[in-house]
Amino acid sequence: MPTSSDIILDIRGLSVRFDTDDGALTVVENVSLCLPRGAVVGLVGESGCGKSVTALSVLRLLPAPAGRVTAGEIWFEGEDLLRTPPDRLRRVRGQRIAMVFQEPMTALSPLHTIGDQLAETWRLHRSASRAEARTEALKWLRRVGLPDPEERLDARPHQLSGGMLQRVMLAMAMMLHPALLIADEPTTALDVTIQAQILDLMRQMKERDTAILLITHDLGVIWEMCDTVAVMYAGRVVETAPVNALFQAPAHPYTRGLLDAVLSLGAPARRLKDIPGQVPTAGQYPPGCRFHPRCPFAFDRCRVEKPPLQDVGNGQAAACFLAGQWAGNRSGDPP
Amino acid sequence: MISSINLSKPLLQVEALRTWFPILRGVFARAVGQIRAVDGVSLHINAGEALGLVGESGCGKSTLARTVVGLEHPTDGRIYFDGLDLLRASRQTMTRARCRLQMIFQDPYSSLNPRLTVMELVTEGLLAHGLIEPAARRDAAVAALREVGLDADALSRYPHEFSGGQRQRICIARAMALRPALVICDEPVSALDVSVRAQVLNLLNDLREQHGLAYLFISHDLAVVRHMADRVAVMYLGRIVEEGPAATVLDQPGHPYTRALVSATPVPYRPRQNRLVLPGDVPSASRPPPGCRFHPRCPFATLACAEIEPALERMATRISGHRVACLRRNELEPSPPL
Ligand SMILES: Nc1ncnc2c1ncn2[C@@H]1O[C@H](COP(=O)(O)OP(=O)(O)OP(=O)(O)O)[C@@H](O)[C@H]1O
Ligand SMILES: Nc1ncnc2c1ncn2[C@@H]1O[C@H](COP(=O)(O)OP(=O)(O)OP(=O)(O)O)[C@@H](O)[C@H]1O
Ligand SMILES: [Mg+2]
Ligand SMILES: [Mg+2]
Repeated sequence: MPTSSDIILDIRGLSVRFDTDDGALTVVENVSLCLPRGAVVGLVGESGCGKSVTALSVLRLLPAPAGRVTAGEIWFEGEDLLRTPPDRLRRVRGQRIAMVFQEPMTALSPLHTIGDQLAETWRLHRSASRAEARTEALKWLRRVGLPDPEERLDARPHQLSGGMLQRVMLAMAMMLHPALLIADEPTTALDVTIQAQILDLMRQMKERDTAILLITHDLGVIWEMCDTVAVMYAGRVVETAPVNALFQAPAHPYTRGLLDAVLSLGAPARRLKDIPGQVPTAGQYPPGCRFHPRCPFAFDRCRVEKPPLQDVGNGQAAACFLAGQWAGNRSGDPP
Repeated sequence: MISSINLSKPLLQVEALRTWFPILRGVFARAVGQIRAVDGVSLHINAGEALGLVGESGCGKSTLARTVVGLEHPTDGRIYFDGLDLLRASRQTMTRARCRLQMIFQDPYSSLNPRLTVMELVTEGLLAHGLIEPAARRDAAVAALREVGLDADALSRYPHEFSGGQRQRICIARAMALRPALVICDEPVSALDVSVRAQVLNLLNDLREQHGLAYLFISHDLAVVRHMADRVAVMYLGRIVEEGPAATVLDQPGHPYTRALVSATPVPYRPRQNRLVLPGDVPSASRPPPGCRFHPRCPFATLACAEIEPALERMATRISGHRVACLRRNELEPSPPL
């Protein structure tokens, strides 16, 4: 079923299972996400909550045969990517969907020069001579602010720093002008001044109408970059909201806990509020609401019943039985 | 009289410290150059004080820390701790000093021996320094674990059975057991998730309060340093470019590099105005640029900046202890408030 033309990516009820030594584990459960054209949508959550698995599912890059999608649909430009034939999928992936990961090294060939890899990408999707493709490659290396682009054209990946490689990856992503960029922790391994350069390039892509799924655990990056945000906890989406609503009036106690633990550059509070306990690992998820053992407001129902995502108005939804009472109130008191 | 003089002396005093690493090439491992990881750093920490050290990857933070605790050998300079000249002290004196000077690392995975139980890990130092009898091992371990909020049932388990946050607690227990006066924390929470990070930072602050500890707190995250430190030093390419009270350095940064760091740090709730985006990359520490090391990336650089190496000097604002190594430090517009 085609979706409304303004929606670029529509993930519906995605579930992913991994076969492990401890048996089959559902690590992503019933995740739905929607990216309008040119929007930056953030996916945030602590380690192991399922952010990367969600992204890899969209690209159909889950490690086979251990990982597989057990339910859901992923609509992109009018087709369900989960049912697209492999050769067509490869074309979509190269041309319409670009990706950058935390480790850019793994996405580049160690044997070929940066210039050849960029030029090859260009020639694969646009008809151009070798010389034209090389000129195009140089143009994009310059656009992303790589120091000494002429020299770097003939460098191999191991000769560049992580921040330089990430700029090469963005050059590769930008040159084809994709409809969707999936960026999984693109700046996590980088310094803040280099991160600022990368975020700037992603903003330029957004201005050219590319939608971006930005995965990060850094709430500061989410605040700076995103239009809307989905918060994941233990394999499920627990809240989705426009960015300002999320930060000003979080509707899920977990989101609230995360925001309370955020540090600012202003005068420090003497004590940080923390979330007691720790994130459960897949296979040991508690019944009912998966956050209930750490939630200060949990009551009997939370321990047995799974709270569905409830709409609380203004595009905000949270998977909490108390969501309605939470919304619009940023004070620390229970409803 | 003598004790009052000692009291006014800093707990740690580092003077003109240099730690260079040779770049070796060829079969004869000839040194073809030097990586100037730490290149003329002076700093001090008073008893009970927390000094934050920030700066980007490779600027020399860890090398400075490792040199202070004796894991690297300095090329030049002096280190005084507790009134002792650490680089000239006898082995015995060093061992005693070592106990009062502990270090916690970023990676709680690799800094714990995987073959030792938690009890062995936590009491190893106490036994080695002869501070407890072997028979008292269990009681000492229980007490050390209690301090960091871990139960006694952790005693017989191994590091891999714990989460990252719990492992960092074990590292902290191990360091604190020796009752140090100064703990060097090298990126202690960088590998931790947000909610666990808050727990560990609270623990470190509680322990500091209870025991009157001093910290050298290293992080590349300005917000973490702002939360933990009384004073902050900013490092760039082996040198300190700014130091002062935490509030001053982060709210009214004097050095263009500090301004860029503050501006580039994404912080929730801050107005999303135009950020100061620095061009280029941090240059190599083996060939630092002449003059001010930051000048090739500095939006305010003049010709003089490429020639004259600026020293740390006071600002015209005269805020006590605020010093900046920039020729133009008093000419630039104050940066906009956060
Ligand atoms: N190849 C795999 N085999 C088995 N389990 C896996 C595999 N890849 C991921 N998982 C599990 O799936 C869950 C979600 O992992 P995922 O990588 O999506 O987390 P994440 O949110 O991206 O975390 P991080 O912030 O650490 O990157 C985790 O419990 C993880 O252990
Ligand atoms: N043992 C060593 N031999 C050679 N060079 C080294 C050694 N240790 C560090 N260096 C170099 O010294 C410089 C400073 O490194 P250091 O680890 O002190 O930086 P850092 O500020 O701690 O960085 P990060 O934030 O990445 O931890 C770097 O250029 C590094 O490559
Ligand atoms: Mg991930
Ligand atoms: Mg380091």
